[in-house]
Amino acid sequence: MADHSKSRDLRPDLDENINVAEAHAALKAAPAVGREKSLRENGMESVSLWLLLVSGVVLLVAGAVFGQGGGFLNYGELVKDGYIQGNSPVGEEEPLLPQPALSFLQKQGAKHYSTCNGCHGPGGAGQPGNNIPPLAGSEWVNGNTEKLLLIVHNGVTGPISVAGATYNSQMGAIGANLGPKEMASLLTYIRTSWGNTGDIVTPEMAANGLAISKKRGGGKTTAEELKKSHDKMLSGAKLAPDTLLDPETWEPVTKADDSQDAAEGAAN
Amino acid sequence: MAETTSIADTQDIELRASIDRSLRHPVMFFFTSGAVWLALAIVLGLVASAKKHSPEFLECFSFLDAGKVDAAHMSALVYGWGAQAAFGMIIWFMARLSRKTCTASGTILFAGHLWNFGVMVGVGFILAGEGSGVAYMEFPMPVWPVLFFAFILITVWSLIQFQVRDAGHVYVSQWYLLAAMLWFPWVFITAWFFVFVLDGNPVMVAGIASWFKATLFLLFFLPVALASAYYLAPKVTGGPVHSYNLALFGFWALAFLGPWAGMQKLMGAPIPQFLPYAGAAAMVLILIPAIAVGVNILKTVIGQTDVVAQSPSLRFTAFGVVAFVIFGVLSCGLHTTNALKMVQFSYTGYGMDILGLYGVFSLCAFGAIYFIVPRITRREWLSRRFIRWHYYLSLYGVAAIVVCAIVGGVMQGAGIEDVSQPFGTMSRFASSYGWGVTLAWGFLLFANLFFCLHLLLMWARLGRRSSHPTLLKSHHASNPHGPDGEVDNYDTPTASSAH
Repeated sequence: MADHSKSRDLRPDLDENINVAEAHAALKAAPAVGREKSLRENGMESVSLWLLLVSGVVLLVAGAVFGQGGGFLNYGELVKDGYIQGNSPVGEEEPLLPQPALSFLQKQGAKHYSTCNGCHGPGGAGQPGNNIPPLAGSEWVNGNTEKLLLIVHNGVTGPISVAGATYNSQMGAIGANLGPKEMASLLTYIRTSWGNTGDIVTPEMAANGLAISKKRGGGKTTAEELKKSHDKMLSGAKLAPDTLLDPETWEPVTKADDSQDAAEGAAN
Repeated sequence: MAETTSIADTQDIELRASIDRSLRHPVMFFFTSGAVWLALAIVLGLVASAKKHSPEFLECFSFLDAGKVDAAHMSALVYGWGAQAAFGMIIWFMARLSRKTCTASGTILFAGHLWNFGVMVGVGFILAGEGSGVAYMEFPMPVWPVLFFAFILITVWSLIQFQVRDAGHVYVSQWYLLAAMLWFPWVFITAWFFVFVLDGNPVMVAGIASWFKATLFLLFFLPVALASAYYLAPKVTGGPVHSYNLALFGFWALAFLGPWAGMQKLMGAPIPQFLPYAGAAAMVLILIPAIAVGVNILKTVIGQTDVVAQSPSLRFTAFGVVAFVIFGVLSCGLHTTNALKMVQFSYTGYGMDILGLYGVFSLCAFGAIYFIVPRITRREWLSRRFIRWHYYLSLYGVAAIVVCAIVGGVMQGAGIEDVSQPFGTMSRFASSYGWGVTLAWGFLLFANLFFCLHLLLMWARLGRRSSHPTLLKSHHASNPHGPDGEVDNYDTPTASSAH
């Protein structure tokens, strides 16, 4: 034990200069200090192989973890795809559940009707005194949908007979900017509100109507033209009022894939 | 054994004694006030844990709301107990290893009071509902500069002592102490600046806070604990540290990995994607320094199991080192991507925090305190039984917390991932483990009552005046001087003087 004493004065916490009597006197004053052992030269064992092997395995695991982070040091990518849960519980996202076609289209259409509101009135009664025909009870609204769409999309000019009275004024191409979905919801709204008895106009029908309107080439319609060449229903599959629509795609969903669609909606 | 003891010469003993004397007030202040903060932190931890499974517990006190008491618990544990115990260890170990008496103990004592004042104000603000709300940095913004100023005043003298030391040799413990003293300001200033001063993106602020949390442990508390282990293991056994190379390897592995850890808490959050993955990889790699240090320390003491069994310092230290190895293994397993996904939002993180702060750091700190206090007070510990109770209750308490929190956290995480189950089922699942954690804090409360009382008695200079150390083994049969403490014999170094 004494063989390592040569270089002790180079090491901390250790000096060597034996004087037994003094040492004992000092021991008396500070017993705990006196019985302390000295720190010794560090052992020079080499790092064992198994420890390096274990470190290598750990390094591999860590590399795999880091590798899953994708682009190295890429500040642009913020979140790794698929890290969050893919399947959220059904029914969590209320607005994205499938909804009955009629109420869904009415709700959407009501938003667009605010543009028509100013002239035709919130109740669709029109302003007979100002030469503006009503929508409620109008054969143009309840009847064939192609002419109705052309009026909304292009406007109408000249005399027109509505619900037994003749009106002679101008309507602009108010709905010129509406797409098929918006047009379908607006037409459905006015055809099913205020006691009107029309049926649902689907986005498919509206798209066909817009195509016809495009082929026609624009310009305001007249009652005469509409009656002569556009007095028919828009082509397209009919939709029952209680068919469930996916609020994202506006497509009908069957009961079976309700949950799946809703879940997809939530995940998106 | 006796030979080693009698070699210690007068000058050496006198120098050691004078170093101890020069530091006795600040070191005792840090240890005792730290112990009192620890008691408070444990009571708060008990309440915080109870709130998790029984929210109606103590609901009449609004300052003990779950969010406040949780933050106050961690802050008291980290800054009240942890930091102060670390300061006491740093200044004492550094002075001893650099062989310099401390000439600034008054300043250190003042700074210690300043630190205590800062922590007290901070915890008060948290309980009043005025905390910052940033995890692990819950004190309000103005407290942090005060703490930093106090830290500089406390540790700068140790840096100076290291600088003016006589011998050229730098001992392993000194690497760790020096690193802890230099890393702490870096981590602290960076986190404070990015969280409180710069008006950055709040998601990134959360990321910085979790980086701070991880690095405060890995780059401050852990190095101080390891410095203590590397000091006490050879000191008490009298043998050399097993391998110098392994010590170097372990130190640099920690130095290289530590700064990367932390951001894995924000896995899946919109921060640059590589950051959380780098954090997770660093936490996996922590196993490497854990094994290196574990093998090194345990091989140092392995031949001397009776010394480990007898010496309170070594028992606590050895357990702390084993806890570090367990920490490394769990960290490696829980930070692989699949496991992390599951436990990210569960109790598990808390279990790892407690394993690190209590299992690794605090146990090493207790070991150091049991070693240092008899030297600076010149009294021996009063009761072997108190130490034993402290040891076993700590052991079972921290093990129970870690097992409950980690197993419970895994169950909880599995419950969160299972979308077919409502959230409430998962909470009920986890709440039984919450009860376990509460019970375990009760164990630790008892453990710390013994420790705190014992330490305060030592502080009041009521320790035993004896040359016989208080060891954990009875020597009635073998000791010719009778039971420890009954016969005073300053002149005869005893055979059992390992400690």
